[in-house]
Amino acid sequence: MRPAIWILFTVTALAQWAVPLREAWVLEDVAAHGDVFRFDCQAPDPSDLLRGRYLAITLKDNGAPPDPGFKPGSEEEVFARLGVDKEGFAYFSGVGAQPPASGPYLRAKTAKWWPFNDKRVVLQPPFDRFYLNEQLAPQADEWFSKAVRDSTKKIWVEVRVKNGLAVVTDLKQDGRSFRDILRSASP
Amino acid sequence: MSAGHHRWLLEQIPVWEKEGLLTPAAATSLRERSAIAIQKESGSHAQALFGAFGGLLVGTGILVLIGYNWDTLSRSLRLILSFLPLLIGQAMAFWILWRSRPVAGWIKECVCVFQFLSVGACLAMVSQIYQAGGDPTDLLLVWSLLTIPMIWLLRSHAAAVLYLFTITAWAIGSAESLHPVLNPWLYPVLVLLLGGYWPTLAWRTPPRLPILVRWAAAPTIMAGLGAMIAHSGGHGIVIRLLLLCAAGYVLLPVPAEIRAESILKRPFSFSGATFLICSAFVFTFSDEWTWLFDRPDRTAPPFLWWCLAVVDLLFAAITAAQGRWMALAIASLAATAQIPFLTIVGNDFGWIFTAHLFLLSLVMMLPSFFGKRGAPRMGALLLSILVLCRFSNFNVSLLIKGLVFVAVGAGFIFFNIFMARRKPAS
Repeated sequence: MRPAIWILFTVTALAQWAVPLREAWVLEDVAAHGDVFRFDCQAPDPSDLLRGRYLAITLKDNGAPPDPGFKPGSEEEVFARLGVDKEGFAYFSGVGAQPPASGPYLRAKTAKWWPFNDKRVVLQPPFDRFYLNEQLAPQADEWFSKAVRDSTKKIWVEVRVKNGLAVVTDLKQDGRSFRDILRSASP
Repeated sequence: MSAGHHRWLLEQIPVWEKEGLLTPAAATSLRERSAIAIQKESGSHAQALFGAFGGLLVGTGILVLIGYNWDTLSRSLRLILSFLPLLIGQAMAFWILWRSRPVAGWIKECVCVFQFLSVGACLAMVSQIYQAGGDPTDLLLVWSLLTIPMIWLLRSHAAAVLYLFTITAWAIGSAESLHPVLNPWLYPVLVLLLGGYWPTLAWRTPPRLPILVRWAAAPTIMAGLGAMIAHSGGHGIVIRLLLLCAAGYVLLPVPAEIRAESILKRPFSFSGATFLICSAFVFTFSDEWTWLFDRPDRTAPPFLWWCLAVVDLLFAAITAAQGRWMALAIASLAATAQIPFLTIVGNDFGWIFTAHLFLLSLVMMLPSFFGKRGAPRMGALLLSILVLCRFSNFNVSLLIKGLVFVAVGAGFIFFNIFMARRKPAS
């Protein structure tokens, strides 16, 4: 067998491992060591061809004021600074073309249509899905659609953020994970 | 010789035997030889197809299992599980390459298809475990780039087909995005990468790509080119370029023995001609013409337009030298669609296509009346459809429309009978 074939095979096999492993490594780091932020949200239950069912997370407020003189176009990559309000929920405090020198931020894209709304930049946050077990998904969807209508309770998505990357860790209602809620609700 | 050639030979043997060209003994041995060849080739093709199908089912099954989402398992265990199919696929590929004796084609197909899908499964699972959003289009690009070298090494036709569909889906997805990670204009490079899987393409008399790959390549390449242009141009420029691409398919210079084959065995010619003729019929309607062409394009004729136009002209010259007038006539439909580049937009050019299709149907029918090779039935069919299309525009009663349909149908049947009774053209 020619050495070139083995070199190509080895390089390909290593690359096939390296790409998903690198992604897993970076995301694991964010999931383990990232700062925790809570985003007020709402979500329906669609399905992805490759990755199964998920709750589509829509933030209640996905807009932020742009930095002076900054006017990004549609679907442009931007850096959104994160702040925390009095209730402890995260919000986008500003949007710029460069990552801020200090403080937490997210790498995000601007919206495809009307990226500017009322002098605010509309963002597509990098976390828009919460993948669920197939059996759990319908219950979660039902619970979620009821819970978002209940104005007395708050629902939020818990996200860990590090170096502009985000990993969704849980979906909570008044501090309880939706899994615990569904477990206690099931007979 | 392919199984098709052997089948043709089997049909000819009794005739030649009757004419005294073959002795009974020679006819018997030829029959036996062809029958064995047909059985052998059909068997190996079916095996390869079933092998690929098996790999496809197993790989898809793994993707569906991932879709179930085993979120009760720990993250690390799920990560290990996500890499397991990849490891199995790589180990099987390694085994095939390691063996000193070549393995059966179906094993190669099965392993390579499984390997292809296991890479996608691994990427999707990592994305699912960490709840990473992201565009599935980017995943398709990474997936195809990570698998192409394995297709080169194992030379799997089924995996090559999957690769073609994956990169085309990526190109279409990227064209819809305003700021894709990589521009869909990378598509031709991704198609060219497939060349590594069929290195003998560079030889003087290369074995032809299997019909499955050719059938997959013809529509996907056209769709990929369409996606490239759609990313930066309006409807009009996309359709014009697709027509140029289709004309290139029809005019593709191929050896005489390939041209003698059935059109169904020439997917590029078939899909190109079908696309050109169907598009031309659509453009005969004013509304469709207006929707596609009657608006200024966002861009001037792009670089790709010039490239395709030059290639088409070159192919047209070769086609003319070969005396393939029918192919030239069909390809000329693409030239008509380019006219609005040279004139003022805002006019209804639908009538041009009506006239062009009328001439094309005559070109197809008339040679056979003068003892030359034509496509009289195809010409009659085009003419009939054209009459019906034009008639559908008129605001007349259903009674008259019905009578016209009957008249055209009857005319078509009589023409068919007339052609059947005529002596075949030399």
